Amino acid sequence: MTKSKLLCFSPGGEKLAHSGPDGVLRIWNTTSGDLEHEYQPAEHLKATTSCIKYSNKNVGSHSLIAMGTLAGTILLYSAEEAEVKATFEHSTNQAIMDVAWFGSDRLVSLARDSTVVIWDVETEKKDVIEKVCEGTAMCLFGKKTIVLGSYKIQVLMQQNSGGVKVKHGFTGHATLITKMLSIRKREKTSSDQYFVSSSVDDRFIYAWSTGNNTEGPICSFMVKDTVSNMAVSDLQDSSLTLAAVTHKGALVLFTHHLNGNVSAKAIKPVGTLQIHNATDKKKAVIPIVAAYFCNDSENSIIVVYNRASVFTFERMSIEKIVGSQVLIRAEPTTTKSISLLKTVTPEVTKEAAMVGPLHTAEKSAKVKRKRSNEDNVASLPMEERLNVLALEPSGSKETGRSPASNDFAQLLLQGLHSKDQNILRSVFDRGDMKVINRTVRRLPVQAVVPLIEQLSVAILGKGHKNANHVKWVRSVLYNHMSHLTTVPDRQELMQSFFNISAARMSTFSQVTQLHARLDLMLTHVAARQQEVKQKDTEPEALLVYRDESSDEEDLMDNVLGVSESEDNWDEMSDLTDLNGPTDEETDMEVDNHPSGSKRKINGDDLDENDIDEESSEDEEDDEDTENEVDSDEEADMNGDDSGDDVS
Amino acid sequence: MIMEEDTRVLYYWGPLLQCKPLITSSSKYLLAALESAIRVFSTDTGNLIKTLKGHSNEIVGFAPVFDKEDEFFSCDEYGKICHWSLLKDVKESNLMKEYQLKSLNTKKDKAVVATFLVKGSAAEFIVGVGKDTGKLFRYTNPTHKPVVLEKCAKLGSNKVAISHHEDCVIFLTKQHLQVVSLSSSKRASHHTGVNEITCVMCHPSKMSIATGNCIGEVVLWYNLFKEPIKQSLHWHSLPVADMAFSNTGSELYTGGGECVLVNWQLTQNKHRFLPRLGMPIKYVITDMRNEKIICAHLDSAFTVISAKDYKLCGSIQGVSMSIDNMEPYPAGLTYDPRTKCVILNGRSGHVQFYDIHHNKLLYQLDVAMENYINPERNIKLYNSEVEKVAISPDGSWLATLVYRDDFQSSREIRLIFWHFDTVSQRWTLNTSVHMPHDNYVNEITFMPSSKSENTAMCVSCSDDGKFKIWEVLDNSDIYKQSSMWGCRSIGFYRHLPATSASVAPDGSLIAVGFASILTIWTYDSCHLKGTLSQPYLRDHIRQIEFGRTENCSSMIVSRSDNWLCGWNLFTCSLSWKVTISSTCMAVDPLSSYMVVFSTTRDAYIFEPKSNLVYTKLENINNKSTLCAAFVPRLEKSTSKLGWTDESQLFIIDEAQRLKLIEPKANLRAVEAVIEGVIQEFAQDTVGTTPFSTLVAQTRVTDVAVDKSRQLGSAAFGVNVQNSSALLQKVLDESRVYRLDTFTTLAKEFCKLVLPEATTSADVEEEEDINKRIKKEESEVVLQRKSVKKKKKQNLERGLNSDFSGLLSILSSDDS
Repeated sequence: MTKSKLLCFSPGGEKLAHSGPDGVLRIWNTTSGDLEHEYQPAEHLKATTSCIKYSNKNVGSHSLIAMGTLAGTILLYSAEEAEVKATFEHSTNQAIMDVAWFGSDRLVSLARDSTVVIWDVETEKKDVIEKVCEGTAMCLFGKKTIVLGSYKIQVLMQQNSGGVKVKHGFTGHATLITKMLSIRKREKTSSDQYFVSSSVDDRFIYAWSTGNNTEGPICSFMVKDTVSNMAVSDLQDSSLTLAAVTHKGALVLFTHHLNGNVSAKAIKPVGTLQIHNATDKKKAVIPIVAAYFCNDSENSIIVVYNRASVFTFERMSIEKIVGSQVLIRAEPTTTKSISLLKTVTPEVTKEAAMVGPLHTAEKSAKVKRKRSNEDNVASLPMEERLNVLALEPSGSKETGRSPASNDFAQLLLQGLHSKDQNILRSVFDRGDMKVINRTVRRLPVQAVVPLIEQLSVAILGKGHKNANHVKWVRSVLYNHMSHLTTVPDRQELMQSFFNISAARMSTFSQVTQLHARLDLMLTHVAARQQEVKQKDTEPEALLVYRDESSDEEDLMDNVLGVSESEDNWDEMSDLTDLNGPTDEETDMEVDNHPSGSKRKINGDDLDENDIDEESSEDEEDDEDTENEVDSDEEADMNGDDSGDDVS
Repeated sequence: MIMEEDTRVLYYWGPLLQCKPLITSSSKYLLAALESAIRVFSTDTGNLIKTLKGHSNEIVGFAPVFDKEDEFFSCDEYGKICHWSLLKDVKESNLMKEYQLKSLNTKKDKAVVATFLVKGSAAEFIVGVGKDTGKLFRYTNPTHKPVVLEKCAKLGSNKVAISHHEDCVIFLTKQHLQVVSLSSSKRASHHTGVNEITCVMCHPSKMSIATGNCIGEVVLWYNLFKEPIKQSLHWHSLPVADMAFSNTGSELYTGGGECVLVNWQLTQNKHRFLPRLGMPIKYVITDMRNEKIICAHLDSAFTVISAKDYKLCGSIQGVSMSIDNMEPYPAGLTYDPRTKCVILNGRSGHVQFYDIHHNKLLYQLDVAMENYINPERNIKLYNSEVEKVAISPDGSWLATLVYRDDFQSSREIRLIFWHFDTVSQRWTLNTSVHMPHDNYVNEITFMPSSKSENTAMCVSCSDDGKFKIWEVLDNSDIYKQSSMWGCRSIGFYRHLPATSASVAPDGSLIAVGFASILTIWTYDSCHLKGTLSQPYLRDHIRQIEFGRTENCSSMIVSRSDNWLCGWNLFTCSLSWKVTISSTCMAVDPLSSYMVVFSTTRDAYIFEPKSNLVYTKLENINNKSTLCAAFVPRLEKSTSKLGWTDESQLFIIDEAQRLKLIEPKANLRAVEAVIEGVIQEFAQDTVGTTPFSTLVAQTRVTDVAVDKSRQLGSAAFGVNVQNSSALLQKVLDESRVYRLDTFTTLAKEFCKLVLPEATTSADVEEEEDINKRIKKEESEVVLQRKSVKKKKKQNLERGLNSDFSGLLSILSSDDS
């Protein structure tokens, strides 16, 4: 069990210092839960740390940790700078029982030999107060009041002349006092000071007041278990909240009005908090070791629980701790290393849902579906369900077939009953239409509705598997339409399929259009490239042809036999000539044309369509192009014609 | 009269890399400049030890005093030099001496770089003045006139080096590397070659230097005053950002954009690497005891590396700065009620949880879960960035929007819901929605009232014209009880982009801004309840906030770039409006106050019920505010100022500085509050006369913008020349594994096909050319037509006669 004197919160509760059994001082960040710093004192084996205490925060500098040791020395350690600022020698070989701070610059230490030393940290001046009274725990008030406790409690006042005067004595506890805490007051109402004390094996915490004339406590808190640690809130509107940590690792919370009156009755707790292990089946307790009141507007408390020196911190509101509260937490197993890069990778499990863009869910439909689902399950008696699960596999054994993979009716049924996503996924991933049909056909009708529900969930996911899911849906509709028409809430059932298909198909027509157009353009581009290549390979073929007179007859044929291209030509041309030009003339024109294409024609009929289009544009025949040129192609051409304004 | 308050702006954090940091001679402290203050960090624990304040201007250089422990000089941009000692106790000042460099205290020239040659207590100062290039001065004594070493030296924090071994200074000019001896009159100049040198470093004990250049090559120069001998070390592919010799000089550490620290062991001709340091390296710093190497990264984080085993041994990090200086912190400041921290963008793809009360970084949460992609030498590569962050009111759900747009392929948008698992006390991934919207998501926000995990509700709105309501759905099966987020309903209005959204505190209404129109929807059925608009309010609504407290719960405040409007939901009317060009607005969750930050760098505190200004904070900052948040106080304030009682106001400005704004609690202000001296911010009141709307209408003139847009989108400049290649490109880039929507494909296609920008002049020129061509062409056509006509007539005649005639015609044509 962690000793309460070896645990200390920094002022403000930002950090927790803990001196472990190995003598290493560890500083934890209470917000992020990181182990921020470790310090191993040079003499940690000889001089084991007996108590630690944070100083109050000084403006512009960081708080120091005073570490009292069993060898009678006190180390002042700065965790921020990782440096021992000073080492004080209280008295040789007299263990330091407790240390406490007056503000940030005066330290009070209490040794086993009942000497109290007040140190000035700046000047390292030592102000020894010889054996006043025995003490095992200590707390301070204001600038001068020291409260010491062993069995009895004594309130000392530091005199201006030096030395101390006993102001008050209290009965104290039956056993040795382990911890005393002074209660800070938010408002200055009276000069009375309050403090609480706990002792070894005691089930009570007592609160004392310096304004009390009797020697008894002003009230007692009944913890019902031995107290190992405690924390108090600031006194606000004379109301005090006290948290006691028990040996069993529970946190017990009390609230009480401290108004100076002595109450005889023991105060009962308002709430207890326990933390159980999430992974352990026996719900073993993860012990709470300390608590800290943040004193903020939300009255939050930082609860520290640990196992095997790994601390976990949780901030919660006091209002939550009412009655006996049990939190279930995972056990902090691995010791976190000192964080270097402060990058936290969040946990990513397979349980996380990955959904596609069009994931929608109808709330009303969802609720209804759920109910019908439950009805279904309820309507199936256990016997029937067992039959479904157990009988058919045995039947298949009877026929002596090896477990065939050509239908998944059994697997699917099991999956539907258990709603096991793994099984269902393995079934739905099958895309073979035959298998699907066979499976669906063999499915009992009771399973159809659950199947559709599961499919509606599965189809929401993303990826290529959706294609298979569609096949399943189709097969179900095909095979079980008669049953589906009898289902009363079929509309809601199929709604999500409709939604998702509508959403997914919304761009389908556009995409196909785009595809078609791109296809056209690409073929055109490809054809043109080929032509360019052809032109490159056979340059100036025309010149050869001109010189040969034997071709003239062919030409004549073309001229006389009215070719298709000529018809087109006429239709497109503005010229109202009776006869179309000869091919030869066309060639000439193409050659002469200033900006047109330099394509050569070899009397090839296949190419003539293209020629026509081009030449039509060359001639500025904008309107009346009856030839159905695809608009994309036209745009393409226009671009080629260096901004020729054809619309 | 507008009540003005004296404000106290507390500087929390900002970029730390304005000059090269320094490790003090004891290796215990790291000094980094934060504007005019020096931040002292412990190299052992990474904690901020103290802040030294002595300068009043930006610090440009540090230099250690070699023979005295933990003493150093610092110099600011106006030539003030401070001599510090860190050994002194807390209560005394660490400042030992101050000097003012002569003729540098004018406000005209700012020093940009300073290095010192310190010998004993006497020091010589080398100060560069100018912008990128400028004069380099040498001060042998601060009070004497300086000597000009060079008139146009390249200046930069690692482009001027001093060799302590031989008292010479090395700097760069346009083409040359200059070596100037300070003790003698020796001077040498060496040509640097084509590749620009990015950093220079002197060997600590030998007269040799190392330079790094923009192609990643490190060159060691020996024998500098005569013919230099060079040795090249080339591993980096990106420009060498910085380098440092170890104290003995036997090892050289270089770093750059690869996030790799390279250790060159010069005596053995070996090198080793320390990769994956997370962020590009800006500076490499070594100490004098050969214990530590510190890499300063671009996000103002430092990595401490032990020199012995060459391993990471710590980090020093405050608020992680954004690398993208154009738009830092797109997600703004979000208050996390569970840890009482603020959430803001961290390293790329991360969000950071920053404990603002203790001024400490808690942790960075890796949201995108992607490795950082280093930039290429000439190409900018894009990482996934967290663009929006929202947290549920109980802190159990965190919604992040991860966005990546590389301007080439279609963009990737992921809406990720994280759940804080109380059992394991960790953030766990709950749902990742791929492409929740088709376009940029403008806002995600949670319903502010839900107090339990399972009733949480989230609204996202996007430029694709839709807003979606997300809620927790049941996803349980026999193995587990689980939940997931799903979209419950979608709303849209007139196909306008949904620019902002907000949920009423009681969760009954959702307000969504569609362009300039404010629409009100019911939460349960997602029905449009009303639209609120005014004809003159034309700019897009940027932010919508409901009044949070009882007395103003019927009010909605909408902010657009030039207007701030208060709408009353009971009467469904505009109750007030104010012209103010604003940058951001923040709401106190605990009180009724709101704050709006103007582009003139003033802040106005107001309550939504009226357009009366509660307080005006003038000129709070020298840069305009990017985002702001009210953070509830840990303990209630005792000041009687009203608006900061419950919460503190934090802002981040354009220079990425995190600041706290608090009014000084002075008597005058308190009295003013008591008397209720509150004034309007502007003279506007709503609709006093029917003409007021007309007057307002003339305010918006976007003519120029519109015109250019029209020209750009018109068919004039369509570039179809290489369309085939472009098409192929579009088809290649469209993802095989997912069906991109038609709109995304079409947009890409258009982007490729259309030229970048077509100005009106270009278009006119083009038209001119077109006209001329047309004219020419029509002439040609006319000519051709006449020729054709003639030919045809000839042909006709030929056909009418006989073949011999035709042949003769044809042959005549040929000739």
